[in-house]
Amino acid sequence: MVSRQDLATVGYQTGRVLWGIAALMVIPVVVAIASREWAVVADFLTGMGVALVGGSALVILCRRPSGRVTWTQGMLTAGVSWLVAMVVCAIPSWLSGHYGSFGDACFDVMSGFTTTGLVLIQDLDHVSDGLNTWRHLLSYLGGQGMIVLALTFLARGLPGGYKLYVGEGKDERLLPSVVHTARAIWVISVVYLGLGTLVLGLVAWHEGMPPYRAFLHGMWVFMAAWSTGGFAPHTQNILFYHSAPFEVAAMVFFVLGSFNFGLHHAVWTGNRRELVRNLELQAFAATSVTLSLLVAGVLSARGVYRATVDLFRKAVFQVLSAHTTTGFMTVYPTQIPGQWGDLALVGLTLAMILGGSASSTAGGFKGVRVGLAAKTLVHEVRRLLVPESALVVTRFHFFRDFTLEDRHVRGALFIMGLYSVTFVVAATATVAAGYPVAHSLFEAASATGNVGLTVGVTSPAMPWYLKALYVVVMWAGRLEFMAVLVLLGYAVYRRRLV
Amino acid sequence: MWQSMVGVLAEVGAVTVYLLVLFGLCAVVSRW
Repeated sequence: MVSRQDLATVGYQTGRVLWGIAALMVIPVVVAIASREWAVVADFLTGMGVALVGGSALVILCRRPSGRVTWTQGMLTAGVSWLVAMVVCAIPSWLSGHYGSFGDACFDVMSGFTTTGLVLIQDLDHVSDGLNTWRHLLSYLGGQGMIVLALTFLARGLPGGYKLYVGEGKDERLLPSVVHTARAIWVISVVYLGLGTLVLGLVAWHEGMPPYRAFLHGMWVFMAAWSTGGFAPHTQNILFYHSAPFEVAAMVFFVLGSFNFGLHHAVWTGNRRELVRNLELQAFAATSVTLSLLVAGVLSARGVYRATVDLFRKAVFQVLSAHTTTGFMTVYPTQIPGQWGDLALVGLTLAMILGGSASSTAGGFKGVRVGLAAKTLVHEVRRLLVPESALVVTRFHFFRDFTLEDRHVRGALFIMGLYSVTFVVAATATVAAGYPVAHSLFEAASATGNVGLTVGVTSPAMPWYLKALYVVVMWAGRLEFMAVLVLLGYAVYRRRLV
Repeated sequence: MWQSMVGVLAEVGAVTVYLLVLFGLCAVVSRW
């Protein structure tokens, strides 16, 4: 049962999150001043005021709770503060006049936080620099913050991937591990932010953009790539740049962004063999190569592109964008079902469902679970082939050597099952709203796996209940269902007690 | 510091090699 102490802790922590949001709004304000967008400055100052007043009220009312923050309180805070943060972050977006309703602005903020990339924003090509910075910043920070959350709060209940990384006997005290993990993640992210902005900015400058604009585009696209978010400052997404070097640079960064932070940490501290031995990367390499060849084969057979270079430039980019759950597009949304055909659509949908790596900003099943499922399949086949009395042992490497056990498989299949159920519910609701089956499957996979590719279903004109469902699906998928299950569990538990 | 820079180079290098292999395989499939 939720005690008064729990509520005070959740309120106090949520208040502090709102203070953090107010501080963050300084960044778009600085960009808006540099770009001389005075109306945008006013929008963000309004948002900042609401965040400061709301945050202060919660902090004063709830006061600082005594004692340590427990795991359940942390989990509740994770669930609640995300929803409150969504509403407050949507204020400057909504004030910009680029959204049909406040709900649409909330949808885009949740899409950013969860690094999905589906948008309901209107007239994206004329959005201010300040608001574009805000959208991409939310995606970048939401993504990195989520990993800190996943590795600390959620790790306890997740044997399917995270627990392997954080170790079995995890300390119940949160602070030391939070500080250590958060610091490592931010160092890696900030180093890559500098490198990525420089590389993409230089490419954009070389392609003819003025230096200030090239810097902004470099920063925005890097933030969206690294967080596997998929936002872009133009309606045409990455197609807008019409630049092969820009696409290749973006691809390198979103593939790196889809890697497990444990892997970055291992490589940075000298364990470079992990790049080859890691089960998760092996699974990603196997599935991404297979699906790229499938889509390239389909495009070739259908004669969609005359030049071979164009064909694999488009095919590899789209498959990797789907597989890493980034959602960048170098084709128009209607081109995929129309020109590329159903089989390519299936290939991309499968890539989105499989997803990137655990402990990264990517969504989907995640490589480690796909790898464990494949290992299990091989293990079971081997067991069938040997005498019943023989002992079959299957090993795998995931930061250290493991022997495949039932609990690994159970954890992996549990999350994969929840993903599948959520995907089916979202797809069925989309079909019920009147969209074609293939389009519905594609869009549902995109929302559930936090991808952001679209065939045109997600638009301001879609029914309100589908927008609301997609918000919930993105949130649940991003939190890997655990915080959602805890919140539901609390609701049921309380009702029984009353 | 030095170790981290080598780590970044190793990661970027590994992804670049992987992309080149992927491009090559796709080129073979589309010509075939």
